Amino acid sequence: MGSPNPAAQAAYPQPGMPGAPGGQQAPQAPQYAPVPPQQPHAQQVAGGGAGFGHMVQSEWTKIRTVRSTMWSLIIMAVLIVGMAMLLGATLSHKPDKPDPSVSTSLIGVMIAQIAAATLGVLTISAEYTTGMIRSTLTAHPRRLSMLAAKALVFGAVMFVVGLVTCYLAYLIGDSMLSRDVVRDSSSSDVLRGVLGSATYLALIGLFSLGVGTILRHSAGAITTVLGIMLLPMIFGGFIPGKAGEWIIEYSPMMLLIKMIAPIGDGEGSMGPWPGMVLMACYAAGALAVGASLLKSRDV
Amino acid sequence: MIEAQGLTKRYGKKLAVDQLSFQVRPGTVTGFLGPNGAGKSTTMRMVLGLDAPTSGHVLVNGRPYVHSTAPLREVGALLDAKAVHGGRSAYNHLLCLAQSNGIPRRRVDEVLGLVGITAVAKKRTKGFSLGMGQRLGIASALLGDPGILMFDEPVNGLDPEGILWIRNLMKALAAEGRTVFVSSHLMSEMEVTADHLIVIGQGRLIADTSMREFIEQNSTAYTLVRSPQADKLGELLRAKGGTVTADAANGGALRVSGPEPAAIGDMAAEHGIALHELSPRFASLEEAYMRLTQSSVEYRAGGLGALPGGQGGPGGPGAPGAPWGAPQPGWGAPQGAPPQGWGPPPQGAPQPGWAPAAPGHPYQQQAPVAGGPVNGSEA
Repeated sequence: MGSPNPAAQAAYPQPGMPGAPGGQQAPQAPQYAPVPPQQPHAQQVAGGGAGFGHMVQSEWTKIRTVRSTMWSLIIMAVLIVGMAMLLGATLSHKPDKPDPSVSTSLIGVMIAQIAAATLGVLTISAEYTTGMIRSTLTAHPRRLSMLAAKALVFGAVMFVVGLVTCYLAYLIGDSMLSRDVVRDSSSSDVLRGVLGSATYLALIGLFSLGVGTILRHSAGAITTVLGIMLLPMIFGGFIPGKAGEWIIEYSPMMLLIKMIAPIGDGEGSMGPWPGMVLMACYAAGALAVGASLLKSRDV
Repeated sequence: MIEAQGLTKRYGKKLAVDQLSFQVRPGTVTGFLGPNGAGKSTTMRMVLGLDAPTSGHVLVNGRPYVHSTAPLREVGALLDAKAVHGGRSAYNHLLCLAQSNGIPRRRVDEVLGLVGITAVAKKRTKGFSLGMGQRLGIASALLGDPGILMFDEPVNGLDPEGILWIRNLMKALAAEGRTVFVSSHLMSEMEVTADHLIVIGQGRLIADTSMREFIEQNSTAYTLVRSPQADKLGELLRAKGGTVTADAANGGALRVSGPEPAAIGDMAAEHGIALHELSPRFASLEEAYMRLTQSSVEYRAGGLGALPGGQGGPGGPGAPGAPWGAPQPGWGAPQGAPPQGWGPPPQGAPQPGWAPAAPGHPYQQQAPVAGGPVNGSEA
């Protein structure tokens, strides 16, 4: 075996071409000198290995180079800002009620979270449905690091986009609502509402990413997340006693409402930020289950 | 270098891969041959760590692939041309793979040019034809300039030009000292590509042999003889030291190896035996392969010698001027089976593999010329 053909080498000059990667590494003579059998092929392409940083960069490229990402983000932003404009234009401030500028401006987040969840699911499930996951894991076989990079990039994108759009929604909603009154929303309300909404969007997205990793199927995972999002609010009331209250109290939607609506912290109910910690636990739990399945399952 | 040791994969009750042990060495094209469902793809997925073996292990350059620190620079794989997100452009698909391994951007442009899809690099892969998808898959395999390349059924769905291109590419890659592991269910394709063969059937290793050895053992010249007095003629020929078997496919005809057709004719004339047909034939490797894999339950590793029809006859392919060298398109399956799409070489490009015999072995690699990996780009 292995009588390498010099002519064949000449016909395939790619690695040794001037300007080929590796040029800096080893200014070259014939790079593909026939390697004796049993000897690993010498690496010629410059560049580091497959570290976590590289994976983060790769995931960032992935997320920004498909249209579904852009559409989901646009829909999310339009829902948040659009609802603020709609309510700002139709509602008027009543002096005898608490100032609603934060809660009214951010009401769109309750709907926009559907877009966040969809995008979270698609970030991983699209890899499975298209088969891309096999290319991904061939290029980067350390699966948990892949999922971690995905979660980091996606979570950051959701948080940043959420922060910008929520603040924008607040500014628009507030200015429209305050046409005839002096606004008195305290800055802590604004901070909690805007920061909390952005955090929530990132967390519900990560939760969805976890569910997507577990189920690997876009439609199934989106349906599941929507169910978890909406059903407790709808059916919690029908369940008698403590159980019903409990289901509503700890449902993701309620945790979001605590953030955007100025509900008092009293009565022993969970405060907005502890609620967000619970939401983070939901996301972490889903991701942990997804990660363990990802690690053990065949692709 | 890929080494599998007792590799086994079980799906429920079905044993997809059964105690497979083999080595794939650098510097050669190793054909991984077996009928559909034999476990080729499963084996390749296990090499890449996509599927976990039920038992046994497989090492890439001496360690499990998942422990590789620079995976794309170690192994490039085309397992499935459809393993791309259709909404992403070819360029961005390659870019995200390159970035995951710290491979610079300009390498993406290079491999795009190498496979000849630069013109469609910015198009979303959803609209790609099978051939373009295959080229994209090969581009991603070449991204890290790896020492090991694995291709799973690379010629599936390609046009003759594409098939020739891939074939030459694989040979060129092997000639550079790389390990090239390519699966196929077509013996005829392997004949003109591979230097070494690993044949599996029902998940088990059937043969692990060099192509030359396989040809010598399985593809002998013989003479098809038809006569109303076949029995008598058969006896006479046996007495002269010929090997005579009944040819089931040609009812009543004899397969004679040993004596030349002229000698058989003379002998028949001497004894007044009428001949209805006397024609030189070549047993096809495709046939040998079919026999090999059909009975894969009985034949275990190393069972080659026990094959029916596996006698190494005179006029083996090693001899210069042996019949194999004759420019006879589609000789792999001369008995009516049409050449599988790579029939006439496009634009007269010399066909490595079955070009007019070079001195020595016809399967010796010849230079990929026009239509080779570099010039072959159609962009």
